[in-house]
Amino acid sequence: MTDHAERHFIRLSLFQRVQHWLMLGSFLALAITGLPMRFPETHWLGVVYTLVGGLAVARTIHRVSAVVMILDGVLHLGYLFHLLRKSGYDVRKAWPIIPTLKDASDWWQTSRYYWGLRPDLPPYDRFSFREKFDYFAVFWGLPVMMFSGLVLWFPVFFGNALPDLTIGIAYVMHSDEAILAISAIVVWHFYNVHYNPDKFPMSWVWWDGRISESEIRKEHPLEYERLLQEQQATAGAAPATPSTSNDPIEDPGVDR
Amino acid sequence: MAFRSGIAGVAAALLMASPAQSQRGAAPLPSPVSGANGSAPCLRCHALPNLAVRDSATLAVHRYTVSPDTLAASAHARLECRQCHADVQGYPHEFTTPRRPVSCGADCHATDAAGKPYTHQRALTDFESSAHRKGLTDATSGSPRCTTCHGGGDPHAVPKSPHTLTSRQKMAQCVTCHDDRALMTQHKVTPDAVSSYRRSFHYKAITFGSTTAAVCQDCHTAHRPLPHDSTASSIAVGNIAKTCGQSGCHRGAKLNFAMSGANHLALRIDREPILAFLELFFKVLTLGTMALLVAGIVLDVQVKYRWVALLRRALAWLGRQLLSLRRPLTLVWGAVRRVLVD
Repeated sequence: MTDHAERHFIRLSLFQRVQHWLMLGSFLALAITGLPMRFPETHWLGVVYTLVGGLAVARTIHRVSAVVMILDGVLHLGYLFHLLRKSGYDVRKAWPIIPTLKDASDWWQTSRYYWGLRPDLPPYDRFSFREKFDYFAVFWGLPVMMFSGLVLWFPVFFGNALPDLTIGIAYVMHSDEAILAISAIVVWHFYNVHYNPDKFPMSWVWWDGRISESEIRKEHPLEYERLLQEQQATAGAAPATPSTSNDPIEDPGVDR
Repeated sequence: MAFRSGIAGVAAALLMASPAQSQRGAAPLPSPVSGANGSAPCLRCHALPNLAVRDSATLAVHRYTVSPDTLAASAHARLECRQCHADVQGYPHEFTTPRRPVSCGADCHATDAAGKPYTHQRALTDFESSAHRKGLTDATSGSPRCTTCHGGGDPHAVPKSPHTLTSRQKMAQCVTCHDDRALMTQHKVTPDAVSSYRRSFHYKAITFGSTTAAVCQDCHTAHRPLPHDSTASSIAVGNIAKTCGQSGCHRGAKLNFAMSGANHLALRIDREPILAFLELFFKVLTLGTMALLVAGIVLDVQVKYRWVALLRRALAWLGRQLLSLRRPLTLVWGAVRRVLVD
């Protein structure tokens, strides 16, 4: 987990990790209580309903988790706005997760590396194109699930107020997007943080926020160089040693 | 023919109350509600297990056995035979002319559990205007009649109350025929009604134990199902909002909500380009995205174990082996040609 001989950097602040924990917990609860409804003939999925005490209880869990996820999304939007303001409304600086042309070229160069056409990976910055994909997948999926889910939760209210196709559209969207989201998480996101031989059994960044120096040098070399430069520029300031506080220590400019 | 007097005797003894009822011959009609006791003389023969008659003309076998236990457990337990079979007079059976066949709507002078007079006339009147009305007059029409759904074909076995049936049992009454695609096509009814209902939330909720979710009879009514383009239908545009908003269901439902088609969504999807496109969009999006992501994973894994490099080395080795065979093959081919030509 943490190698005390080498130094670490804080990659995710506490507030960021809290947002992820809320997302993680609510997503799991939603998936587990929702999947049996999507595949009612798969009996082993239905065991979930028996375990929690019946369909009515499962529905309540699903709805409570949905509210948690929605609030987490709202929290995140507020966080984004806070970052923007703190950086003086510089979008690139406040939101390093925004895709850039470099991500397209990174993807192309990475593919060439996979096919043995270049000797090494291209250098990634703070968020590689994979992580940006994960992030924007949620940015797409959460509103889709939220709006369709709310229609299905209050069918008479929304069905009365909106055209008659609304419920049918909500049903298809909620059902199909759930499958896409769960597949993407269980296959792609879990590969990146669990199944990946470099990370197996787990990358712990989501828990303690720390990334070791060797990892950040290998996986996010551009960010690593920038951190070193900033440290040299502010030589004599706080050293980059493992810290028990949750203050971000690598980029003093913007709250990470 | 030998009577099984033992069984007849036991049956008679169980059901007989007063010795005066055991006489044969033309007896006056008993008082309307004398319950099973009044059935004793009939059951003395009709409880026999193999009571049957072969029609000499058609050679068809008509069975006349009635199980007293079944009858006692049924909704008709408190009735006696002649309340329904009003045209049978005594034994030997003298039938009234004209015959008065049993009609579920007839007034059999029955009372319900509270003692109030009760008939099935209202249900029958509804049924006569329903899409199933042919079943009343034509047993070969394929349409159901009263006994098809109630009692599984045996009017003596009608369960005590339809309200004690589970949702699944109620569903089964309709699904038996409506899930038979060939039968439905033959009668020009949509064959996809049941399969599309199985995708609905109502069906899934029932699968997981709900007792309040809608089954067929809740929306289409039990005795007056009609196509939606018939104005009297419970699912016609003029009535459907009330059907959805009925007590215990979606209170306050209006027409927009009611016309969603969500109960048989597959049928709606077939008719609405927007829904069909949306389904297709998500299929393409899901398969496309997952294909990309899985490819990315496979490529990432292989590079760690250098499988592509391994594959290239293997192919190169194979190519070298094949090339090294060129000389021996040429010699062999030359030898073969000499043998064949010479």
